Amino acid sequence: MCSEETVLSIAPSPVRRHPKGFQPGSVPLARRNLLANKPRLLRSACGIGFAVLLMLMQLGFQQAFFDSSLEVIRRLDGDLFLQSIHKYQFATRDTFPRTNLDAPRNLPGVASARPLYADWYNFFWKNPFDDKIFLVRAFAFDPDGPVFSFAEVNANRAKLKEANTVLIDRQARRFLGMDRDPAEAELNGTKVKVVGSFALGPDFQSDGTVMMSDRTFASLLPGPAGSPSQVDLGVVKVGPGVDAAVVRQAMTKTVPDTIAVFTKPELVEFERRFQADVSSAGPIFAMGTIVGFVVGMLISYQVTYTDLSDQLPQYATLKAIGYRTGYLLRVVLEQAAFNAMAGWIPAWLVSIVLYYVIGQLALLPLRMSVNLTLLSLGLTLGMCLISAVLAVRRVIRADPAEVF
Amino acid sequence: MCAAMIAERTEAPALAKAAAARPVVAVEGLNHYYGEGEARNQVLFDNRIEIPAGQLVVMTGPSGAGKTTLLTLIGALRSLQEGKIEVLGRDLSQLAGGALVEVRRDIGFIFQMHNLFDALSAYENVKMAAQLGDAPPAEMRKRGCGILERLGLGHRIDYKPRHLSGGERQRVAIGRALVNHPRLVLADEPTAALDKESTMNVIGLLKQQTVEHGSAVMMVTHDHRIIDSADRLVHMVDGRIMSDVVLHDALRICEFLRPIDLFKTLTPRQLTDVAEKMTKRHYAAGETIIREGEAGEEFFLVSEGEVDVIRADHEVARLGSGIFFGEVALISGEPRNATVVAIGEVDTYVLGKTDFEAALATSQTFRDQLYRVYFMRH
Amino acid sequence: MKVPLAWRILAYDKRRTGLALIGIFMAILLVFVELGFFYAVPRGGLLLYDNMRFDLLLVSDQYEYQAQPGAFPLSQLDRVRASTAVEQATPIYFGFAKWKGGEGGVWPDVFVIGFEPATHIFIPDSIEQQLSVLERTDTLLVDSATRPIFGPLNAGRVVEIGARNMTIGGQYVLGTGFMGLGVALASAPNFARLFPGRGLDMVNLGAIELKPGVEAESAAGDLRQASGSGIQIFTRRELEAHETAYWTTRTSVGIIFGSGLLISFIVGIMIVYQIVSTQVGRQLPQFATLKAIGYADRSLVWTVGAMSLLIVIAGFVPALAAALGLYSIIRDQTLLPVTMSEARVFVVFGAALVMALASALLSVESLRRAAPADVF
Repeated sequence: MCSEETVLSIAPSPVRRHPKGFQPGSVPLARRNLLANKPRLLRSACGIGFAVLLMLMQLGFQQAFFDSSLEVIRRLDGDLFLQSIHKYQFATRDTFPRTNLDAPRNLPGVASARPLYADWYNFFWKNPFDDKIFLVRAFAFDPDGPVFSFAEVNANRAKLKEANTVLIDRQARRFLGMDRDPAEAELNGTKVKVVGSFALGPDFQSDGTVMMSDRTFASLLPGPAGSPSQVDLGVVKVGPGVDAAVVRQAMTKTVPDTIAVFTKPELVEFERRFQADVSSAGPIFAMGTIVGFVVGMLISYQVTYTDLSDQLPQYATLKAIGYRTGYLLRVVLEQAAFNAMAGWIPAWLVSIVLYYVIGQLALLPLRMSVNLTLLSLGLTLGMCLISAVLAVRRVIRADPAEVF
Repeated sequence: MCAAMIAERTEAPALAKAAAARPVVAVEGLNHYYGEGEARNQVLFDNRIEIPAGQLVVMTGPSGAGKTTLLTLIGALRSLQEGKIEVLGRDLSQLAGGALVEVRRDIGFIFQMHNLFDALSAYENVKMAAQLGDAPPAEMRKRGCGILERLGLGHRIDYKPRHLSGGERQRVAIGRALVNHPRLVLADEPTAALDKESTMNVIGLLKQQTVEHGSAVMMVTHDHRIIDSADRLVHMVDGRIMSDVVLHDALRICEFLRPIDLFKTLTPRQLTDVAEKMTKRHYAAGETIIREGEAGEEFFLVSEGEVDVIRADHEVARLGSGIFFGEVALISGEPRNATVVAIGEVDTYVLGKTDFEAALATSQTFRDQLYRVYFMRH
Repeated sequence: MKVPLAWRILAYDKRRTGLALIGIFMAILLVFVELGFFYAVPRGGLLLYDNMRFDLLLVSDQYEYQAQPGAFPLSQLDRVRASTAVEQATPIYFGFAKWKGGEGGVWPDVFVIGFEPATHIFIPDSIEQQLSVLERTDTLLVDSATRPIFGPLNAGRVVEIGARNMTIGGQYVLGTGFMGLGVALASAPNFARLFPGRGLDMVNLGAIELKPGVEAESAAGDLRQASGSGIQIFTRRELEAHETAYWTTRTSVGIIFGSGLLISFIVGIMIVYQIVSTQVGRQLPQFATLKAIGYADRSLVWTVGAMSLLIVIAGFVPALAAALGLYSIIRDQTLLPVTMSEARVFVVFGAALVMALASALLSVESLRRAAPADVF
């Protein structure tokens, strides 16, 4: 139809109807060609854009799933960690005697070895606004020996020395009422005073978190379970300039076989692996993500293939005019890359907005990260380039006449 | 021109002959503009044309003359801006929506581009038009295959356009346009892609439509082979109809006039001029052609049939084919001196007063001949 | 018969139509997957209930969802048992214990369900047939879906659970749902021994079977009035609604799968729009010719609609087939009860039709550009 005319009008020579007047030298053919047909560009960009959005949403959710359970670990203020070898995930109680921290504390290079007490299934929080009772996660530590890096926790820890005082997570799920700044609440049937808050957020096992002193912990969790002599995690800090790896080697020898020593990355990885492979939710997200981004990639492929194969006559004409295959290939790849970016950039921007909105609504740590950016960009670009080459291989290889 | 061209004496049936029947196309005071405001450009200037049923009209003229615009306006494909167009008795300016669609169904369009659906076979492309009619499926199939066979495509009925040559595709498009025997056919360079044989075939088919179904055909073309077959030639330049000549009548008239004494002395050029200016007129039996005492405005030549010349209620003469009358009033300026009545169906050729006087002026011999006859009669 | 123009146009251009089919196949498949997940999550949450015999469920008024049911005193059940409408009122006990025999030395948490075997409260044959096994001292039945992290689950294996050595008496088939990574069944006495601090006085679920002919709704109403505070009674329907509401409103499930659903829906519309508008655009003169021939705008719109519909229907069938296969893979990998239902098929088909309609409406716009006058 009008394709030949369109191509010829923007080919560098000979120029018949050149909208901008004759421009000697090379013309950015790919860009001109694309912009010449705005509706097609819009269609392709939209198709690819939504495919990218799909990918970013699924990947984002999966990342949020991991981040939500890893966040609290990342916020532990330590270089090395001691935990029972029986622990299969972070969110379970497997204690060891507090005395096991003594030897590590005395190792050269160790600045401190502090206990963290934790429980996930035995603390019941009563929402002070509607009196409904919910399970919450509880952390406890010696107010003089802080183990978290939350600024607000550390600022308020002295207040925790008073009996039955707690710090609450104001980013907890809203039905807990922690976001409404209550002054008082009930925990395990006992009245507690709220002396501060911090921002952590729920994960897939806990809806909210409270922090308290080890004494309060013991009093609220009766029996041997709450005893300060049984510790869930040992948080160790090494001195300035000290190599944690070296200390860790020595430490492993000072603790019984029932206790394992982790560096922080190792602890994070330990939990991440559990969530990914063993937890109920992990495989669900994995499946959802795989399906989501396979579909997303294939849609990018399909959109690009359709778009470029529609322009085969134009490419064939260029070849007939006398352009070399190499040049043609470059034009095609440029066009595919342009398409991909035209779809990826708005989708990426929209995702950032959606992450924020959904993150706020669903209390999920949805964050655009370098990983997500590069992964989605790489996959999209890759798919578009591959499909472009496949779409035009007929033109590359064959006689122009065969295309018509 | 009369000597050079061969007149195909088309014996049009009564249907097509009846000039009293409403014209298929009636255009009046048509102006058309393209563009808005400053850039407004007039492309048609006060066009006026009437096309009766059964007439094959060829439109010629340089490109940009407005021929295609006129065609699209008549075909109700473009909105009317100024003027009046009546097609098949319907005022186009009054039509909208459903009525417009109905009018289009009575019109067969043949475009320069065949515009066939690649996905449909030749037969199916034709059927797309055929299925709009209300004929039963068997009849439809017969018509569709029939017209394709008539166009020499009988062996290609199930082929898709991809497997047809350019000429064959165009013929399919023509078949599509004509399958419902539309009462008006509008064609734009229909034979441009065709070879001589196919062209003649198509023209034959179009003529057949005009003859058998009384279709009127308006065709834009530069193909000389076709111009020969036209009944009427309309020449447009710069949006104006410069000439509008009913060819065959002019030819017939030429042939008819030549043996007549009065006209024998005219040069072929002069004869053509006179013939072109004459219009054919039919009178029913018993109809009064001129009335005694009326002013004389026209000159008559009997083509077919017989007339009675009556003066003061008694028959004075009976005139037949090749005899003229009515010149007296035009020459003397006096009122008609007799009444002339048609005996049976009569065809006449009529020349208006001005044209008659012009004819006299151009040819001394013609005038001399005329006066001689005139004085002979008195 | 009229020329099937829409079909012809699509069938002739095999390349474009094929590509579009691939695209719409993907989109519809994704809709199936997202819906599958969306409905499987609460279904997974209902797994235990789906395999229990009861007409009404008595629970604490602190009942959150199946894995956090709260507890109520046994006496409440006694009161209910007294009602004439009640055939049987069975206490069910839940407890978490450390399974000290996991792979690699870890101690995963096992979710233990305690009940009186004689009540035949569970439906699966694998449980019914091993009730006698449960009666043995310190013997448990373990759910076959228990994760590998628990180590071997062969009958006869002795594992220290909590503070007691328990014997695995065999496996049963039900599913772990969201109760945990590993689930075990114990008889009430065994349960009491496993959780010494607890006793059998505090009950987690009360499974109420009504006498034949008794209507669940009205019986529930009566019992609610008759019973004291601190508990609530659910009919099956109410229970399902409650669990589903929990999963869709209290967790991120709704948003996660819902957003995927929305995006795939939009992608589907775009893919169909792309091919239909491309075909119209490529054949504008032909469509304009149809208008000139005397086709009303409306019939051309039908043709566009038919094209959209054909693409969507042609993509639907393979997507359904692929979804069935994919569901099975997902079930294996995630242990979620992702299953196809008749309703699902209809719902997704309906969604596909909406996709077709939306794309057709969008494509009609491109038809308007077919101007018969321009064809001359």
